[in-house]
Amino acid sequence: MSIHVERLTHIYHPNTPRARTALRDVSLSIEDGACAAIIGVTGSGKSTLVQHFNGLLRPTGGRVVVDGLDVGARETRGADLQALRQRVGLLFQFPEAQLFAATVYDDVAFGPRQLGLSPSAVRARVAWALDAVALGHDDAVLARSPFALSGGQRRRVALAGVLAMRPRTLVLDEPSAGLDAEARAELYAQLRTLRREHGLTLVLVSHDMSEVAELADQLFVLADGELRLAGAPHQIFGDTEAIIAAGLLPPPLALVGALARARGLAVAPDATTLDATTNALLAALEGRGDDAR
Amino acid sequence: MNQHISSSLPLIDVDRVTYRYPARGGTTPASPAIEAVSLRVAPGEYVALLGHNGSGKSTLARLLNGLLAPEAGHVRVLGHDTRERARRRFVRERVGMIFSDPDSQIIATVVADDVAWGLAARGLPREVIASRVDAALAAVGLTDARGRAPYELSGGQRQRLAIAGVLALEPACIVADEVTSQLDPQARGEILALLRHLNRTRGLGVVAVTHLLEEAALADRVIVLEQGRIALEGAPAAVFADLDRLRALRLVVPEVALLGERLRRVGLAIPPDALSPEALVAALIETEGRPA
Repeated sequence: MSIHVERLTHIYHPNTPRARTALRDVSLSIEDGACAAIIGVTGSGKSTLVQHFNGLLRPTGGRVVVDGLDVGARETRGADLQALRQRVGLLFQFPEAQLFAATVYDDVAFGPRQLGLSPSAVRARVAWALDAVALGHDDAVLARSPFALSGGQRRRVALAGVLAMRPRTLVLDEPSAGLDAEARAELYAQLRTLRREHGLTLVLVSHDMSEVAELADQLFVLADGELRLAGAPHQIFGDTEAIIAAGLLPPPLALVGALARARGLAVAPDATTLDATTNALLAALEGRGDDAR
Repeated sequence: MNQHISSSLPLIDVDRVTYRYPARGGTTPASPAIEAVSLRVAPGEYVALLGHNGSGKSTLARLLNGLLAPEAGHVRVLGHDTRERARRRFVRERVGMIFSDPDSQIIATVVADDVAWGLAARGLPREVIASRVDAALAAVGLTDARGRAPYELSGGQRQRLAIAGVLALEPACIVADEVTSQLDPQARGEILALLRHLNRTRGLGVVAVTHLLEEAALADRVIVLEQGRIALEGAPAAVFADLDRLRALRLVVPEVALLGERLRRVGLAIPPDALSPEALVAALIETEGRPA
């Protein structure tokens, strides 16, 4: 499902002394089946932005149209927003903190039960969701207390709880924060599978662009509530100055290139892979050696 | 700090320590989280405890100041066994701890009160508390925030506040357990620079627990843990020379390290501990003009 944001402005506590503009005139489009990453430092407005995608927040100005539904329009009914919230699953930061049930089964089944599904339909959804996060659904897993699981496993249970609602779009706020490399790679593999085999649209919220670039084909960089950069990862990575100006760290190899250029080595800005950076540095060193001779 | 204590005495002496978490529900005992580990931390040393999740590094960190007591072996802080009840306060004051979530350590509703809390709990005179709070806030760059509420601070500022709370107790060493893992890149850099600065300018010992090679590269010495045992130990340049070994220990080798390795292979003198883009480019510029 597609998400279109047109000139979105969001002001918290409008018309009060505590009014604060969190988003200013942001426009972007995420197409059906895409994987987009929204990147910015803490306070840049990224969480405010994604909370519009399922109608948790309404625009102060501008429009947000999700799957054809204008989430801020006066005529949009509560029932439509409810339906939208099922189609757009939101996984908050450190979601494992929100697990509450006595067993893994009850935790993942909580949402589907609210939908009034039959017990067998709930069971099927729980099984599917736990399989999708590679926890499996044998009885030993279902009966365990979420609190007896490792941090990485608890996060997967939380993700399964969102997936059990069968959303068409998944918004994940810092999904890999605090996970080690292995758990992170596993999570990314599961997200890739969900996208490929189930056609889910993915929206990742992160402060680390080199991390999400593994998954995302569109990057949107926010700073101070404004959209500063938009494009494919390889287009954005070369612009290290704009990335740094947004308070972010460029991917390390892009930074090597930028620093080398600053020291007078002629390294091409689009060299951001290991092979390209190695070759560009060696070529630049050689060129320089020739000049000196 | 503690000038009367001979500098030959290790600050922390871990002597053949084994630790096992209590088994859940009376099943077979868990395998040890830490097994027969010995190490010493000298006063003023910056040591990195590196390992993947589950390697035992956080358990070892908690053994260093008596938050956990060894099942076998001894941990001594400036000669005092962490198991001696009477020395517990001394041990905790000399070896402070900070964690990944600063909010777990912030208690008060005003920044300065939070730093004062640990001192007040020890019944120190008002003037002593005031001067130590001032010094600790200045050391972490939060003097201007002294009257603010902790929740108004950024993640990086809250982590600095947690550090100030520990510094006010005038420790000889800080054990920092994954303290950058919940921070954005800018705040991460600030906290690492602060720890390095405190280490360099005040001789504060630092034991940094991390799963990131880039952070471990800042240390004087790196200790790599795997399955509760020490797998590798040495200066960063020595430990990071064998990237395949680090991969086998389930650590992520940063791209800059891979780039450095490739450049070394073609004969450029890039040291193995040049893991940051800055360090790598600096080394690259230095090698220029030198014969390969």
